[in-house]
Amino acid sequence: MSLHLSAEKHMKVLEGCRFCGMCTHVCTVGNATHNDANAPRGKGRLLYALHTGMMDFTPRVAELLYQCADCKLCQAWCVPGLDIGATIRDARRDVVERDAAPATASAVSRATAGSGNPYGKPTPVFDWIDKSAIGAKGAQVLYFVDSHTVYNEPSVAQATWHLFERLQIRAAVLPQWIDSGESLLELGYLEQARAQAEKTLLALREAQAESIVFSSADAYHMVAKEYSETFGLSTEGLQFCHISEFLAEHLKSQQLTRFESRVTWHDPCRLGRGMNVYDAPRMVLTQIPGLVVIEPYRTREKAVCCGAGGGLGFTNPAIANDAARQAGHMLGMSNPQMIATGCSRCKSSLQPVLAHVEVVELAELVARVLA
Amino acid sequence: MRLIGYEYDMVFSELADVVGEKFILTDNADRVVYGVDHYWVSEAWFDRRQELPLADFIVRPGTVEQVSAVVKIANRYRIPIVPWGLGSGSQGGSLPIFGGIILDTKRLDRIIEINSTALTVTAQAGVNGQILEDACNSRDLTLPHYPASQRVSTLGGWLAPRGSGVLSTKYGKAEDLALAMQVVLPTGEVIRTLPTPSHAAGPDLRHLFLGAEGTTGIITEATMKLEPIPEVRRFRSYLFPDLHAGIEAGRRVMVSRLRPCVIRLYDEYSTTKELRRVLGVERDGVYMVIGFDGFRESVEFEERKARDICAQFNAEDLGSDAGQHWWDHRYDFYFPPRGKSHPKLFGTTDVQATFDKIEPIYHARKHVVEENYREWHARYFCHFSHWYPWGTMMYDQFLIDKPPADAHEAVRLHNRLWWDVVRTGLKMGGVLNEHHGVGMKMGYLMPEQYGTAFPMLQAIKKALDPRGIMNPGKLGFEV
Repeated sequence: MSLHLSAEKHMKVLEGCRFCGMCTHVCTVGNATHNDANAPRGKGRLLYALHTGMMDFTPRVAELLYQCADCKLCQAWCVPGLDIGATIRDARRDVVERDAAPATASAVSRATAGSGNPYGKPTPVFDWIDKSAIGAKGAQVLYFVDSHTVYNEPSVAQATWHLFERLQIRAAVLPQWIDSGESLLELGYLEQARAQAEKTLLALREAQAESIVFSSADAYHMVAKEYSETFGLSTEGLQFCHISEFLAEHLKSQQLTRFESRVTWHDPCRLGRGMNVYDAPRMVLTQIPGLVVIEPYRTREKAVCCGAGGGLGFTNPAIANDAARQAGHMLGMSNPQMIATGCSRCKSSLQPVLAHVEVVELAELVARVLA
Repeated sequence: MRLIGYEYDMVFSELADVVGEKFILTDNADRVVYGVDHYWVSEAWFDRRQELPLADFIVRPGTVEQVSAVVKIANRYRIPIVPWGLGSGSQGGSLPIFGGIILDTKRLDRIIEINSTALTVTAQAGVNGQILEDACNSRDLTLPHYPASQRVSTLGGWLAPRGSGVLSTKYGKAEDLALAMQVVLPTGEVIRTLPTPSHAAGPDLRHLFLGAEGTTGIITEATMKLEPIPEVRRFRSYLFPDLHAGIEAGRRVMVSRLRPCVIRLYDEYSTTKELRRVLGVERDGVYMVIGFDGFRESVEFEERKARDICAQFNAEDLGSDAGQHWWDHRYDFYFPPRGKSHPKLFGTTDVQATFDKIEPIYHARKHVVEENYREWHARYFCHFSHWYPWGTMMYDQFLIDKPPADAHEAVRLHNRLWWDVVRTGLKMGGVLNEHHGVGMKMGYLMPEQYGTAFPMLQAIKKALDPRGIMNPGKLGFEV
């Protein structure tokens, strides 16, 4: 079937994964669906059979290719480090080029083309931000507000902005809100994502900020890593950081109020395995007096996925929800009173499945304790 | 059998009425994934882009009642039904060679109870082995069955072929850890074996299903023995001058009733090739790892005794760091790129025998592979990995780097070589297999193994499965 899978790196993955299965126990989707075709070994078999012409392309094949959270957990458990998530993502490009993507995926593409965001909603209005900060050039911090946060977890954006104000940081947001293109890339719309990335990068450059801060791990990973690695765009001269890294640096001299709680940090896939940021959020949490950090059963490089990666929330919300329930169970094994995370998608996924444990984004928690 | 026309839709409708359409997979994309297990022949067939025998339906029940109802439908239409856990068996035991239904047990994944007084866990058979172990570990307990397939196998998949884990030398095989089981019979009745295994209340029903590889019923739940996580678990590596010395040292450790959790002895080829490639061991000789666990004082005592025995056989003590390195990387052998990967031709024949027989069997089987298949530059190597007070298991393997390109020729060569090796062991008092099972690969040799007892086994199968629907074509039972 394939145009893009002929690359040597992909064949190495398919030939490795198709008979292995040594990561089956951690597959976010496979454990949710209990279908062997969803686990990495099954994906390897499926793509090998397609690539070699043993199997015809069918709507079911397209459906299966969109049942992957691209969480990189399989890679984290793989001794040779094979990344079938990347292979799946390239296979989705083929599906898109065949105009065979599931309707839920093409809806994201159309919505972004029409409205500038994956939800097809009106452009957000930041009426809680001082007008002078909107579009201000040369700020200390440009806060990049991603689409999931602004449309689904606006309280995270407001808490983040509140922190900048309390820390007396000269912050700004872009004059015109813009999407990072991350969902497009995950769903296989490579060229549309590239065009979006070029627009976004231009806007970020024009802002001339000292640093660009993200409260979403997904958007951070997209802009700071995918723009250059996937699209070959130059991000030279731009400083990117996640809110946890920003806070680790700026909270050091701050007075924080006491907060008695047993808190588990949930490493978002794109912040941990994607950007290798593990210590910064833990440094922030340990600065809060009274707060006890409880590591979950699986943590850091092997932290569970909330189920919202890989565009799964758009294409397969029921699977994403089952995966979130599993992740909630694993996180709950260490009996925390609160779960803090660094991605608003994780918050949206986990809170509904954890009835008795509050899930907060790091900025929300810090906003509560910053005196 | 291949269901055609309205017959297919009739069966589909009845199955859907039981489990729901969502839980029946019929697309080629899913069926191909379920058409390959870890059996070389099925992998090679796939690798060489040949058409696979596929199931008509992959049915995924969520309750034992649904399993029972599905089996009854299969019975009514006389449709083959193949139990499936995670398809990591190496003997073709879960392949749907006659089509019909693959009954995927993975939705039966509930961990019902971890009993911290009796130290048992009761779980449904479809639970992933590592997930089950994680749940036990979170209660400071362990289910000490650590097969290489731990992450890609289910509880039912451990029990059906009487699997072994890496620490079986102390803790026993899967069947030794199983106290009780729930089983759906081939006629659909749901039964339970007695609550404890060591009774004198008649025959032990567990053994109608343990080792039967799904030919006599579907294991749907089991109660397994747990252990506390030991205070100390230590491993130590030794290098012996030759295989005889290593086997004899292992025998002495076992017959002196020390309780190692593991003894693994690699022959010269495995030491210089496999261990070098995977673990970076840069030594020639015969490599052994011995592990002990439990209270610190007892571990120290037993380790000292084992070290003395090894020293008597001129072993070099390579220390505990080397032993720990082996333990930490014990699964690395199974990741790609394996030394044995397609299109190479390879297989693990494995044999169990008493101490007086095992070494002659090794030499005879090595001779068969390397002399009879010299034209193919066949190589033979092994490790001894599951030890008993009366004998040991030999995990022997063969490898041909450049087999015939033609899939049919390759499979025939594979069969011929495999059977030659196994028959050599049988003639010398070895047993067909220790823990991989029989599957379809060695069903042909079962009458040779059992002799006059095989018709009795066949009669038991017939009594339990009068319509012959359960995993047909496996274990040598007539279809």
